[in-house]
Amino acid sequence: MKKIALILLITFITYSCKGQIIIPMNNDYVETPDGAYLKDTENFLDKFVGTWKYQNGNEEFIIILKKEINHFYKAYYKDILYGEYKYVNPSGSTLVNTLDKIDFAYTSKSYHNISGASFITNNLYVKCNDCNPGEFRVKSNFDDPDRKGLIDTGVIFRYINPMTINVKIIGSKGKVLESDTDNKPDRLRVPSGEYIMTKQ
Amino acid sequence: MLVVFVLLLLGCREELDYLDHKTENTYQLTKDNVKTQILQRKDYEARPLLKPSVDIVNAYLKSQYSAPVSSSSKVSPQDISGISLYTDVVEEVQYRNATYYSFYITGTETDGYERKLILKYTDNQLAGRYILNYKRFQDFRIDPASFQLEKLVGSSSSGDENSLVTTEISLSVGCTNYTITTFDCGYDHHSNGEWCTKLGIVMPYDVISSVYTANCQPGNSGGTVGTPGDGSGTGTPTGGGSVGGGTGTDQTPEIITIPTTAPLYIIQRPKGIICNTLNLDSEEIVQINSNDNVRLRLYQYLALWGINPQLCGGIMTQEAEEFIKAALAYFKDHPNATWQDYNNTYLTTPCQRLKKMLETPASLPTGAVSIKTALQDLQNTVEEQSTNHEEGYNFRYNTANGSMYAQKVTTWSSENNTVEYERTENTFGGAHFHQKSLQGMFSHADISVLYNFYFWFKTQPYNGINDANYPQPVHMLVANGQAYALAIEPADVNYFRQTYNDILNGDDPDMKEDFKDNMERDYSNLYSTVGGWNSNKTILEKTFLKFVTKIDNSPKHYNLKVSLYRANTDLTGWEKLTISQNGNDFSITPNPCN
Repeated sequence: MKKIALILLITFITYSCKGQIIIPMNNDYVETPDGAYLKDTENFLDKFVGTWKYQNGNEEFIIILKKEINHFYKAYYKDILYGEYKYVNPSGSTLVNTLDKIDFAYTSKSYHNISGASFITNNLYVKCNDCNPGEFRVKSNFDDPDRKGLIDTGVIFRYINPMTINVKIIGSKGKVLESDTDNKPDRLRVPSGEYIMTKQ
Repeated sequence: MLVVFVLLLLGCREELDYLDHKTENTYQLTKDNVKTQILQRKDYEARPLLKPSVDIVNAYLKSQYSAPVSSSSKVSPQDISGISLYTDVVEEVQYRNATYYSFYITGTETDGYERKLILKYTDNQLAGRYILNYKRFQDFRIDPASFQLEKLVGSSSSGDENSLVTTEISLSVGCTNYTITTFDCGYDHHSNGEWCTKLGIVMPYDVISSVYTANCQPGNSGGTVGTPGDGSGTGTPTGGGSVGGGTGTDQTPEIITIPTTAPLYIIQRPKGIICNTLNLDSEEIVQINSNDNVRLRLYQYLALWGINPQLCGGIMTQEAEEFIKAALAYFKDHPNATWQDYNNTYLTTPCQRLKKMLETPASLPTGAVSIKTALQDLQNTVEEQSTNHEEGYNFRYNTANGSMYAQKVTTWSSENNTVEYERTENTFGGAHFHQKSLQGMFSHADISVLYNFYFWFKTQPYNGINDANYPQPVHMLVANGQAYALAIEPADVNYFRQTYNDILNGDDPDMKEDFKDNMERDYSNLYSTVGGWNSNKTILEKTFLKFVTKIDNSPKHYNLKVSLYRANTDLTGWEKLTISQNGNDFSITPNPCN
């Protein structure tokens, strides 16, 4: 059965008119040839594009997400999400607000505080115990604009319905130190955990 | 092309026989009456009496290219245009009222001989000029039987110093006796400019001294010549060698010079060619030439890689170049460090240190366990059905007795269930397991944690800087029934830290994202291949090592120079895992640690 699935998968891997190998992103865990294009063939990423908001009393978390087609990494191309965010803590203090950077003309969309897209199933890191078999989530990088080098931070977007997504913030495991006296903050200012967000 | 020194030797005769002067101990060289120093250019320039003499000899050496070798031949200028005296590093020896300065002669022909000019001053008056020629064995020791000594004599009648000619030190063959004296601390074999704790002094460098006996009976060979010092000399703290053969009229030998343990690193070659095989800058060249022991050790390491720093156009690898530069940077930052210090800090292999970590310490702090016990606990816990998050141990260095121990990690990330080691100045590493439902190999975050251990661990060695049991940063993982260790070979530490910092802390966010994404994709590919997390340890080891070695030259992989070790089943030893490529096939070779 696995062999059949693999054959079907390979069948889906097609060549574009330019001769570029295109791999559907929801089946992209195959060996990726250099220069290949990991394409969101089913426009799954579009479901996350927009402005999303979490509100709990004073606490507010807003994310704006956009999609970039054919983002060039150093070995391949990929459709990605990119975005910015604002976080207001339960005391009403705005800790981070980069929403005005969403249309900034960075040389690469990777400069945005949210960027990237990997399709992950329930058993892939970070594991999802209540995800349905075959259900995909999207994993992206999640940075704090004032805290460089945080280790293993990320965000996982799970589609619930057209108006609702689940956003899981993965906190850092510290930061990549710059010296033995580097005691700069090594945690995201957005608390790690899950946020149910509504489309605005 | 030996003609240059044929000129110098013109009219000379070599004295290769040694007289037995055991009964004529005219000169006793001891650590108390011999003072040696390696001078650098600024020291040389601060001794105004030297420069005029050096200029004269330099002019003499350079002028010889046009001098007739014989009536029928001349040396062309380009043949020896590179010849000169090397003044960036100069050796100084003081004995009684005499001071000897030795200069390497650069740009001479590669006939196997090294040449030094030795200027002897008595009571600050120039008393003699000599050229010492000698060859080396392959291990860099000087061949005592190769010594040749020539005396340079000026034309006193004309007063024209430029008309210096070489003359034989003696017409009598076998009337020069050479003695090599080694000075040893008697404790840890410190010698040759190293600080001797036991005696509270800087040990003099070994010296070669030479005495000519004018009225000796030539032909009585069989005198003894000591072995050149190599940093491990066996002389006694008080015992300088004796130099026999004095004439009774001179209270000091003709020459005393330092028998440099390895050839100086000279980039000036014959015909004016510059040949910088090791790609050192001028500061590094002075540094390597100023430290005999370090230079010898570096040459010995290069020899292991098949690299001859004196061979113009010879092979040189990036790895060797980085090793040399890292070592020189260490000695620049630690000017009083010995090679042993460096060895203990960087060259003791992870193999040795990892094995030490598996030993049970004599005593443990309250609540601590041995590292071996910690690994066994992780191996057991990961198998338990109730395990729902990672567990781990901090590895710590016991400042009370210099041992190592493990303490359980008490915090972990709630959203991804990963352990969070505790940063302290005596935390040098840690171990954790990956849950069975996730990937059984080191992640990119695990490499970052190893990187940080180098910054965390700041505790000084309990037994001082020479403590060979001092731990090195390490990150261990229990997965798939195996215990792995991620470590950096000493020579690769600087490279790893720089490269990794560039990726994770650099200005290009694509670098960081690429790194994470590429590794996750490699592992995810394995997941897809078997429809679940792959538990084949060889496949996982290959995947990881391909990623961190870039052996396949894939732009999705990185040459980080991290090493992967796997413990044996009873946790008594380690194997270093290396990957090799044969076409499209990759294989893992376990290399047992001795």
